[in-house]
This record gives sequence, structure tokens and C-alpha cells, in this order.
Amino acid sequence: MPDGAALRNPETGSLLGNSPFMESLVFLIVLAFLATGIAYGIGANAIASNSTRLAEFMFRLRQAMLASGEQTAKVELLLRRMVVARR
Amino acid sequence: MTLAEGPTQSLRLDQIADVYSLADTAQRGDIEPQAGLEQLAEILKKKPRFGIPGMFLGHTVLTMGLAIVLMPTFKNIAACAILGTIVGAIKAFNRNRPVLAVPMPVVATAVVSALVFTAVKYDLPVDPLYALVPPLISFLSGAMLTMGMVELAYGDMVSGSSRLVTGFIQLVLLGFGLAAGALLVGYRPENLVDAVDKITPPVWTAWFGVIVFGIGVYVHFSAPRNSFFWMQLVLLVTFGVQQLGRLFFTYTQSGGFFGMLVATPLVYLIQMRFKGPPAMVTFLPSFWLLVPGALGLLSVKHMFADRAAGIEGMVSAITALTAIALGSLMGASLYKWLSEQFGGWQVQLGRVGRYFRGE
Repeated sequence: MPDGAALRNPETGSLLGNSPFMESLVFLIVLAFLATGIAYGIGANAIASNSTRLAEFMFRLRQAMLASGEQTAKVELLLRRMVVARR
Repeated sequence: MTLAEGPTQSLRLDQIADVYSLADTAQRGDIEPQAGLEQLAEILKKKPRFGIPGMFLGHTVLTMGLAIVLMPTFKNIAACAILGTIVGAIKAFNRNRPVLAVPMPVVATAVVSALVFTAVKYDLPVDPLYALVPPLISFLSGAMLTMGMVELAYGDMVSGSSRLVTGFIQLVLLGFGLAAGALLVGYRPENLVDAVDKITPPVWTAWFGVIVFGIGVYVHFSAPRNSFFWMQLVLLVTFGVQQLGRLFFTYTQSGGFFGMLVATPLVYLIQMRFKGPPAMVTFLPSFWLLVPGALGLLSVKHMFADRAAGIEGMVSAITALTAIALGSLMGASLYKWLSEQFGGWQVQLGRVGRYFRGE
């Protein structure tokens, strides 16, 4: 890193010890793993399939509740609550 | 042409209770979609609690119960018991065959009709009017028709009209089965309208019939463990209020309105306050007892024989459905008002008492 970089200590210029780099190290590690995780998820289609599974579950549950004789408006309300609860 | 397996037509009462329990967990976000799908698949594959013999015998018992309510003579009950057993056997044979689920009620109806009219042909003591309906009660679409009316009243036009049309088509198919069965044994559609000797049974027999009907429903539809007492309570209260309504108002169909007016808040109260089974589990048997579907079936049967009598019967059936649907709507509003007045979604009985005592 060049001298005067944002992650160095502004007074001592040190990268280790008491520096912004060390203070944000945890965040940087999280960011690195998150980025690779998301990249893997998109590549392996894992993220999309989770939402697909949710859609499938909602569809099947809707069918089962309507087959139980429940009112359509109540079933839709339940599915909305389901989505809100998963946010 | 290919035949595809459609969605499950109807669920047993234990499956309905499990679906509601799963839905409750899902709306709190306490279950992952994959786990939810697996649990739902298990519910749909679940075997009946009392096995195939229970399904079989339960149908006989519920048929006998309804026969006791409608016409409590030994001959009628015996005829209904035999026919109910045959229909129970057809249903047991046909289970887990969704593709055959659509023609099965028509076949069963034709078999029942052919047997009843064969008995009439050989002068056996069977009254077609009272012997035809009880064995077929589990095929009647009264609940679907009433829910269709409720949905339309709430403005759900697509689902409401879909349910109404589906329920009506089911009735037409059953009516066709009745006519076909009669024709098979050499009767003409004109013979389907029969003069009936009216009898006035003692009052207690009808109440006994309701209890027997409840036992039959519990076993045949494999109701959940904690539901027997609640189901009987709702059936007896609904029946009692229906009879009271008929007593005080000369118009017969008004009984259904009062029955549902009381049954609707009662089933929600049982579910919410007393931690009983889901409202639908205790609600559906009372629909079958109020028999709007039976009225519709009889009117369709009459329509094959005598157009004017059939249309008159259909008007009666529509009036009964409207009365029951209106009773459900007003009952739901009554429950909502009570719950808003006395706390959250659970009616606090103590607070209700204090309110009326003016404390």
C-alpha cells in the first residue's frame, strides 16, 4: 500500500497495530467471504433454487389449503405473511 | 388425449389439521421451504388414522347416522347401512388413485341408484328419496357451493364462481349417475320423482342420529385426536339451532342460516380460545349435516324427470345455500366484532361476562 493510504495510521503511517486497516480487518474478511459466497451461489444456481423452493412451497401450500376448503382471500393473506416473515 | 393427475381434490380431516399447523409455522417463518415441502409431502401421503377398515366402517356409520336423522325407520336404516358399506368399499378401493377420483362418485351413485331401484322393482321396502341421499352424502358438494357463495360475497369473483361451477358440475354428475343407475334397471326418468310417505319421528331419534353421524365422520374422515368432543359439540349446537330456527320461522331454509350463524363463531372460538382443532375440521361436518348439497342433488334428480319440479327444487337449494352462506358471513362478522371488543383475536370469556354484567 502506498504511503498516505487510507488504511494506514495517519500519524505513524503504520499498516499494522493501531491502524484503520486492523480496525476494519473483520469487516474486510467478511466482505471477502461474502463476495466469494455470493459468486459461488450465483455460479452454482444455489441462490436461485432457494427462491424457487420457496415459490414451490407457497404453491403447494396454497393448493393444500384450498383443498381443505379455506377461503382464497385468507390463503393469500397467509402467503403474504409467509413472505414477510422470511424477509 | 392424455389424462394428467390434478391437485388433490379433498383432504381428510387429520390432513387438514396438519396442513393448518404447517401453515401456522410457515407464516411465522419458522420453517425452511425445503423442510416445508417435505412435511407437506408427508401429510399428503399420510395413512388414515383408523386404516382402511375404519374408512370402510366409518362410512357405514355416518350413512346410518344421516338415515336416522332423515327417516328413522328400521328398513331405511338397514338399507342405508348396506348402501353406505358398498360406497365405503368403492371409496376404499379407489383411494390413492387421483385420476379415477373424478368418475368414482358417478360410478358409486349409479351403483347405489341401480340397487335402490332394483329393490323398488322387487317390492322391497326401500324409499328411494331417503335411501339415495345418505350413502352419497360424502360426495355432495355442499361445502364447496357454500364457500363459493361466501367468496363471491367477499368479492373474490374468480375463485367464488369457480367453486360454484365446480360444485354444480359435481351435482350434475351425481344426478346423471342417479338417472343412469335407474335406467340400467329399467326405470324411466319419470319414475325418479316418487311420492313419499311422510312420518313424524320422535325428537330424540334425530339427536341420536347426529351423534352417530359425528362418530361416523370422525372415523371415516380420520379426524385428529383432540377433535371428537369439539366436532360433536359443533354438530349438536348447529343441529339444535337449525331446528330452533325452523320452529320459530315458518320458512324451512332459514334453519341453515341460524345454524351457521352460531356454528361459525363457535368453531373459531374452539380453535382460538380452547386450543381445539382448526376451525375447518369442526366446520365441515356441520356443512354436511345441513345438507345443502343433498337438496341440490334431489333437485337435479328431479330435473331429469320433471323440469318444473327440478327447477323448483333448485331454487330451494339455492335459497338454502344463500341462507347458509349468509349465516357463515354474519357469524364470521359476529366473531370478529366479539374478538375486537374483548381483546385481540381471542375472545376472553371472562371479559365478555363482565361486559354483559356491566362491570
